[in-house]
Amino acid sequence: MNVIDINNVSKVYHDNAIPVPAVTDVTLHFTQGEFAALVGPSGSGKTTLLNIIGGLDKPTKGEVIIEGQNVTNLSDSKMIDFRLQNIGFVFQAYNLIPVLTARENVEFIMLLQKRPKAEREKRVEELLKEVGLQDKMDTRPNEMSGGQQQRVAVARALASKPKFILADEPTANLDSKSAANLLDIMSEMNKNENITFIFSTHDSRVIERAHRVVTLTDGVVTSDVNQK
Amino acid sequence: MLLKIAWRNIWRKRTRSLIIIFAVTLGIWAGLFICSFMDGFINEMMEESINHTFSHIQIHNPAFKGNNEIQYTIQQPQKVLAAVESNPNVKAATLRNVAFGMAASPTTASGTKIVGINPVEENKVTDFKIFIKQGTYFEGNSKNGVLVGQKLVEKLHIKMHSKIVLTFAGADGNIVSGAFRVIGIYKTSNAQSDLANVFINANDFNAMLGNDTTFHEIAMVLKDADQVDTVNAAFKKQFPTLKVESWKELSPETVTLNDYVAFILWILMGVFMLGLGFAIVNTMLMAVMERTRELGMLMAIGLNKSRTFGMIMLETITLTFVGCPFGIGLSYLTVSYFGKHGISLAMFAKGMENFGMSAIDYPFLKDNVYWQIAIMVFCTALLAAIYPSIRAIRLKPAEAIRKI
Repeated sequence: MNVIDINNVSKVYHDNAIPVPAVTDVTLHFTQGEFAALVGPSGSGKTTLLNIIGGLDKPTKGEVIIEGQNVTNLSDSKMIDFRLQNIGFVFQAYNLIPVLTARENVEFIMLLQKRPKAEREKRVEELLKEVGLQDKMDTRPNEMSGGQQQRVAVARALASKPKFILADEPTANLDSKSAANLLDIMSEMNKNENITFIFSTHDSRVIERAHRVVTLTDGVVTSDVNQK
Repeated sequence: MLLKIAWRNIWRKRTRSLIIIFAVTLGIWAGLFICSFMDGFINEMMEESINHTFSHIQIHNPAFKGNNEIQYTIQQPQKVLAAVESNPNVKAATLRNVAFGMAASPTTASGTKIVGINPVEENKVTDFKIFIKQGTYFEGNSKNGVLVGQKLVEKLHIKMHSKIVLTFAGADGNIVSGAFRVIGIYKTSNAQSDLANVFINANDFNAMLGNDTTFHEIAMVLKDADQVDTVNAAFKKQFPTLKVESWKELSPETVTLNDYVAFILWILMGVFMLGLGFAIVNTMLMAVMERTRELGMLMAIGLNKSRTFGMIMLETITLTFVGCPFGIGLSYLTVSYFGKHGISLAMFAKGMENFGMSAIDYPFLKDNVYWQIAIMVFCTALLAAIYPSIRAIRLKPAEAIRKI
């Protein structure tokens, strides 16, 4: 069974009443354990598509089905809850909670899920260890490098045990070493734990590592290549 | 965790938060201090009315209250007094004679209220004795001594040991008069009262009337001032043929003034709270704007609208409540200090005494006012937090995340 089914999805924005199509008639299917990249130049619609998959934006037309559940018309509050239980996010600009430590940032999402304290503590330690930040647990984001912050973001995305992780330009602000390190971590998780990752990126380092590359041009899927 | 985030967020912009905390502190302090300042005056006026003039409750012949004629006495006054004193709420009670007449010196005369008192019993009911600035209270068996107010002394051009003649209409309509020597000069903070009242021994008063059992007034003080209305109602029932009145009925203008000042103070506090509210709204809106991306991220990862709303509310209330104890604490210290040492308003003394106010204000606040203000601040913070919180939950995560 597919994890994500995107059926004939279009998204049209309006700029001063002038319709601006961002995504046009996209149909894609992702299965469990994919390590896929949505690529394309700026304005190609990759972030819009990622937002639609993640329920942060609603399509003008078409439907998004996640593990058999059509989430297209979920209300805002139901969608937030759905995201909390099913989707992990890694954003371009780290986007950690600046007043919380690495440990607290990762734990926060599990608190929202109302997980028991013992489980939270155990998982936080495991995840931060997995991303190589066991010695930064009680460090706040502003005391960490960009790469370290992004690794915390990955740990946080995994903390909620999501069905898949959406990563929007995760390496855009990182130097080569940090980017490689982050990709190693995500690649390991994908390989060892069969976690589905979908990237929106135009970073060649990500594209090289991706098993599947979907290219968007002006909102239309122009190629879908399996390079495993 | 939301409380932890709220608390830490407050200190992200330390200077801005400190300004708000300072504004809250100052607002509460200013509000409470002005309240205490005005309450001090009103309290002093009421205390003076009760302790020097009216006591808590008075009993008269109903007809006497109508036209102040001397023949309208209390029937069997000792029996009524005994009944009053047997009430467990009554601390002390005394009998008085009252006549409205003239006080004349060799050079001039003035209309006055002549009050005949039992010096020993009166001293238990009122603290009049402490206002004697020259001479003495009724001591020993000195006959025909009179206590005169400073203002009347000046008007009659008299001094200690001067002789004055007190004249009033007797029960039969004939003029009754007697010569009295000034044995004491008193000065209260109420200049009008000092001009209008002279005090003589009740025995001397009755001697002038040729009847030693005549009394017009029973005045009493209670153990608990807050029981005035209850005890007043009980005595009204107990003595249906007599006129029983609490100080509130005897001096309705004092009650009205008290209510009026309280009303004005609440309006003033409302204005303070409005200012505080706008400051909070402004600060929290700035905080929401600055953290648009962070809020967008939180909503994207699963912080629902009610939690987002609650987080901003919590942050606002926490910010406000950091300042609240400082404001209340500072107010308490200020009110306690000046309540003990007073604030001298000597430059306004003359005018204030004409209104029955003391030239030294002793700020005063009931304990419950501190709580009321704390609740007002809490409500203000709650209301002020609503708009920034609504702005926060209206953010679209997809747009907010990309906000620079």
